[in-house]
Amino acid sequence: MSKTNSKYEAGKSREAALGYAMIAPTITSFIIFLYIPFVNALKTSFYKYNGLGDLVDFVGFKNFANVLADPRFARSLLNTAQLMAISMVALPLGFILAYFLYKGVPGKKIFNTALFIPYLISMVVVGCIWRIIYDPTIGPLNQILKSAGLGSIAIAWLSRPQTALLAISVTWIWRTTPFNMLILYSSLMKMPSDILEAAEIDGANGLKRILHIVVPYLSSTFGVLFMLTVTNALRMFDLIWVMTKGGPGGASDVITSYIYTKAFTNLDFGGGTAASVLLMLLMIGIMIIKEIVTRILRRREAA
Amino acid sequence: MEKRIISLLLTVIMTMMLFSACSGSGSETAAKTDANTSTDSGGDVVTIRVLDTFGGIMEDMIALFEEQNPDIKIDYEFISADNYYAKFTAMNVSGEVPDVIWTNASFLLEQVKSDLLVELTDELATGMNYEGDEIWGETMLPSLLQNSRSLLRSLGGDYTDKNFTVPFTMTTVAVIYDKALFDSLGLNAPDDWEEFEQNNEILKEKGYVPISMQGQNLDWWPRFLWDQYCRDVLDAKPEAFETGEMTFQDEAIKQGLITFKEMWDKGWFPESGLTGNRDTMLQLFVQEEMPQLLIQSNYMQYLDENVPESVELASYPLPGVAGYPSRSMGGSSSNFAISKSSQHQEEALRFVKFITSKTAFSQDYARFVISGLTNVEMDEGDTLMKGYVDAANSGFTPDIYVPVNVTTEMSNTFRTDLLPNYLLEIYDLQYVIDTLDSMYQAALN
Amino acid sequence: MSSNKGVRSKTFHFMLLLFASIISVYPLFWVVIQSLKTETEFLKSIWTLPSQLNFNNYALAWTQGGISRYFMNSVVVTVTTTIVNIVFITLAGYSFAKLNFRFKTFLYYMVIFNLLIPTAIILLPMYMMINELSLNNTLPALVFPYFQGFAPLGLTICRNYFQDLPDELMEAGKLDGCSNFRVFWNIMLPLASPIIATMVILSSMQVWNEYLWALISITDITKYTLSVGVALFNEKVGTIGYTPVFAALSLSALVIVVVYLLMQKHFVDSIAAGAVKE
Repeated sequence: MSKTNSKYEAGKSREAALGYAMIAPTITSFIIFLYIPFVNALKTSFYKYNGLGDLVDFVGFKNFANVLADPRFARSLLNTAQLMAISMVALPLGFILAYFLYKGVPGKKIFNTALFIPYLISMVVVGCIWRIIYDPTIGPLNQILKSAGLGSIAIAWLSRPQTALLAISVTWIWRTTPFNMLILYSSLMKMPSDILEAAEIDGANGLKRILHIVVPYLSSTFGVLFMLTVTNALRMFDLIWVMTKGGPGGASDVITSYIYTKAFTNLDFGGGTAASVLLMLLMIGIMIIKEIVTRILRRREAA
Repeated sequence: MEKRIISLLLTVIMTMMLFSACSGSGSETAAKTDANTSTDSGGDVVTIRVLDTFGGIMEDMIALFEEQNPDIKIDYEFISADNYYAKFTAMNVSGEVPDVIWTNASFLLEQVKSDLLVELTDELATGMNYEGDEIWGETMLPSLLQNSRSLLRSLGGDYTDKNFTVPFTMTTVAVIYDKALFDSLGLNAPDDWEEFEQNNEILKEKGYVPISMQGQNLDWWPRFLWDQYCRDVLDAKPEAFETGEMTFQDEAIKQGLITFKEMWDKGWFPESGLTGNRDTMLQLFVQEEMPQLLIQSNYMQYLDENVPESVELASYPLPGVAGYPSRSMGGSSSNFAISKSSQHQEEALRFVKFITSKTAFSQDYARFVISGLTNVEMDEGDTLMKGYVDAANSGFTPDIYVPVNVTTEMSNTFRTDLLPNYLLEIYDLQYVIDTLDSMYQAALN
Repeated sequence: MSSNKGVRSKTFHFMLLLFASIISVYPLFWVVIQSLKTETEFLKSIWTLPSQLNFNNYALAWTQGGISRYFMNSVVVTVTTTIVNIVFITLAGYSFAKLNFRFKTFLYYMVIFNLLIPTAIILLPMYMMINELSLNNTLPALVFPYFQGFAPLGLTICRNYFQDLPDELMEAGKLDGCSNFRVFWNIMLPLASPIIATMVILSSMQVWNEYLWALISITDITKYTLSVGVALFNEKVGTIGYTPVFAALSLSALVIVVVYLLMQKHFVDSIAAGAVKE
């Protein structure tokens, strides 16, 4: 008995040893190249620092106070949230495309490639191209609108506070839908056909079939894509920077461009880091709240 | 099918590798020369690194310099102004600040405060210029040199009347316009503000966007207007703001902003200018949508090469709204400095002297650039550049006049937050004034 | 269901996909077309086709933009980073999926947490670390930061993939006397080729297109990557003109498109075989 037990224990600790060994390269790299720099960065938030030389000007929580008092900070958070919300459109869009591909069309392979192209080209290229597209005078978009008789809405998309962020979001959706499409398509391909057949036999028509059978089947995929959509929107920088730099007047400033501007344009690294810390605290807070709410709901359900 | 794609791809990759290997030999030479830089016994080639955002004629100048100075090789690095500071701070961390660096008002203060630049005051006062026939400082227009000194004013005390940079070209802003169009509409280059307004009205009626305005230089227009409205006070007493004699609440300041907004409301500016940059404006001009461009002279080259036949280029200095002689904006907005950590200060100095020399500017490539040097004659017969020459001759408004740019943060907030939102009527005038006031007070302390 | 309805809906599907494809491809297509024009042609009208195929812009981008040199650098960096990514992530993905050890969840979230750290504030501190370790201008200076950028996504999909592989395979292997590691190496890893193919594509794309870190951390300009070269070239629009910049943009984009076309069969099949599931 004890022999089996100790063998079991030995096995367990061997497994643990291997486990640690296999993640060691990843974790070591993270500690050296991410977490140590990160902790140093955090220190900066308590200083007034211009990026040159050592940290000498200790200012306590002043950076945090300034950022919290800055209306542009709140605005950039709002814009980030707005962007996240709008970019969710890429999920149903990706699903529709994936579903149609799944149902089968002639030239499927060509469509697959063509539809994925936006995701392949770099953000800088995407931003450059779309900036020209949105240009009110020489851009194709307005020229098409004018010739279609819709001249009244042929405006300076990127220069109006109401439309700047929206225009960038559309570009972002254009860019991220292919990824969603591909992931959903592959999950669809793995879907057992009997699920659909069973539904047909039960008399469910097309739309019902999709909504009640297919979508739930893909719920875990949607879950992962949802998480990716949120985090990618959070980290979006290149596109905003190339298209509007956060303008006009901060209308399309998201949290990443706000932080970059603070650090590298206003030469205030302390402030930039403070803003990042506040963002992180906010995100962690949201996650905790989400956890608590989920648990409460689960408990309610169980009761 | 797949096999064919693979072989095609392999062929493409191998061809590209071949090409890069061929041109890669160029970089090998650079590496070899680098190895020589540690010691400079005469005869060895010294390599100095130059960081620059100006671009344009820089590459031509470097080629000429290397020709004339075979003992020095230039490792030229171009970077956009946007990424300049990120790059610079990284270089500073690894102690690899290039020997010669471009800089400007936004970054200069921090660089000087961190003691990264070589002081050039004495060299300018007593050292020789590149050709060796004049005192270096005396080859530059006094107003230009003074302008570059004034950038350090907000550092106070120890830094008064000192030069840590030299100005590179005299950035002059004037109006490039389509003379052919003007002629066809019976318009002339305006001599005064009234005529300027009339021209704009007519152009607007005819369906054009009268004149340019770009986001990255949104502050130009208010500053042009302030140079006029505030001239009587600020020319006599440049420290008026510091002593509190003049504040942002003054009528003259308000007038400057109000006039700017009026121009915007009348539709004289392109809407896309709010988030557009200079190349957007260039595009509009070339497409014959906007016949006037308020811009630096060096863009004349692109226009000269690319405008359609129907456009005839010419320039005029912007008239003064308050009737004073018009002064240009800019002055020493481009500067070069030598880094204290440079191992080759002598060579770096020679290069910096070269790029501020008659030799460098007396070439064809420099046609559209105003050198700001006393010994370089500006071609009076050049009709394209006439407006710029006139503007340069009138001198220019000090870099810090109405002090919206005493700190980088204030200047950026003014340009990217206060002004656009004021035009869009999201902020009202009083809010803008009050914000400027409080930012300035904070900066003074 | 009547065949009429089937045909009608198929046509509808086809038209929609066609429309979506045109929207997807057109912007890139447009840039390529413009790059084949002369600058004057481009400025005259953005709608016309070039009167003749003009490759001068490509030549200009190739020589003046330093594209030739940067291309090789990008290839080296992308290949190396992707290899490192695959090795590190498959090891870690399997470990998190199938092995048990203390603090597993914490360590996993340590990797995922990277998603919350904005690039702007980590740029300079990361560079300071590179400098401390004297890794300036070396491959590791690029590879490891890129690895960190890729790891959260890579680890998520890789771990999920391995989680989906049935435990019975492991047990069967152990019964045969394999150690944990051999189970991984001989049994699980061969089954992972679909997810590895996926990661190769995602990783290559990410690295090929990244420019901000490369721009800042590389101080030896001969070592710049293609994306940096293109970004810098892009800044010269006002002096060099639009069309050469379009040529540079097209070059960079087309390379990755060609690579994707090649790998597409693997990619789609591998995705179909099983990638993302929680």
